[in-house]
Amino acid sequence: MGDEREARWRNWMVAVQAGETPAYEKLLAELIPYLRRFIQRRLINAATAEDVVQNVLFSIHRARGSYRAERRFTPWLHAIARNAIIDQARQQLRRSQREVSLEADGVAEPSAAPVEPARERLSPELEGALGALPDAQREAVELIHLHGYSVAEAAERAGATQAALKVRAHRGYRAMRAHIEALRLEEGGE
Amino acid sequence: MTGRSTEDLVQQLVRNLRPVKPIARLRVAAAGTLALWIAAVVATGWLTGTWPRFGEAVFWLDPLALAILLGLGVVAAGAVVAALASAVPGRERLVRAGGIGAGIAAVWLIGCGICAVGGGAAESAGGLFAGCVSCLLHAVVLAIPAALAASFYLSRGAPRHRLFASGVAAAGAAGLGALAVHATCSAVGGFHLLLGHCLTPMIAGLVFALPLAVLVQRWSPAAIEP
Repeated sequence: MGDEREARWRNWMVAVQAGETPAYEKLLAELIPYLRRFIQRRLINAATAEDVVQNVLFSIHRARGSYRAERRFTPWLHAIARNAIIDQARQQLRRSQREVSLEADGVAEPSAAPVEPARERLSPELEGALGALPDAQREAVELIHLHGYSVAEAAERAGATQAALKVRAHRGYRAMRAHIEALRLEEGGE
Repeated sequence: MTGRSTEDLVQQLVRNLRPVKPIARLRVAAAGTLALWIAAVVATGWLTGTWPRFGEAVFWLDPLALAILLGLGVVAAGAVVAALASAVPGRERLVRAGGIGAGIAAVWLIGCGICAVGGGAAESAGGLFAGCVSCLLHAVVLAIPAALAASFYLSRGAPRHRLFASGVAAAGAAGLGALAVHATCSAVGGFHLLLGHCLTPMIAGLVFALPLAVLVQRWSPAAIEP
């Protein structure tokens, strides 16, 4: 089954390099559901999966000349998909850090009403990274990022100073990023 | 969100499909890069009359010179392989192996340079840094064909970090240039060896990363028409 699919995709990819649009349509039609599954299993925020699928499709188009027919197709595809996932995860973490930084600097409006915890749907990968944090760092990340408290509110709840909570959250994000990147590297090395 | 549906994107990609030539094999690209470097060394030797001193016994008896030669060889090979492999998705192991080898060799070269400076060998008559710049420039000139070949390969492939890949390609090509320069240069001054020979790949990697990245960008075929 896998070998048959591999051969089919490889043949289509060779035809794509020759500019044959029917082969391209067939290839993309089979790749999209495959990529959705591949990406949703690995992505931090499942809500952005479709964006990553589109990025991967665009990367495949741009990099189609870098495939060689004597090599297997799926490792080439997985490498492109993994890169897109890592880029997305980095972008997301950078955005989160910037939000924490803005709140800590008092730029963001403090929430007036009590905050109702609005947890995002977390991927198993992110849950794992969060679970691996020391208690203090996990609490800081959860209060600020998952429950949406301002730094001042979160510091009050955690019984810490604002500066200490900001440092804990920052360290937490860094540790989570390292954890996730290590996982990705391990997967890449398999 | 991007605001467009995946189906729209697929239609756009299919509409924009053009035939492309598959990228050359890695080993062919590496051999081509090496051949261009050899041609540059031979051409320069023929024009200037400076040839590698491999025939001189004194060259083989100097452990520091041999250590630098080894370091430059490993930096050049590792960086060139890492740069070329970074153009091909799925060759990350080769990129890592080449990068680690080049990194270790770079540290080795810095150590050799420090040993050369600490050894207190007499500097050339022109002063502390005499000849450093000429050796560095000579290495860069010898590196140009190899750097252009690696950049062309990168432009045909899909490097994830274009600037980084270009810097590594520049370092590798400069390593090849410095290897040839080190084999022809008879200066023994510590600072000369450090700045003019050992640090050449690192300096060139930093200085030429951006110009090569621009070149790679310009040579890359347009991904998609608007």
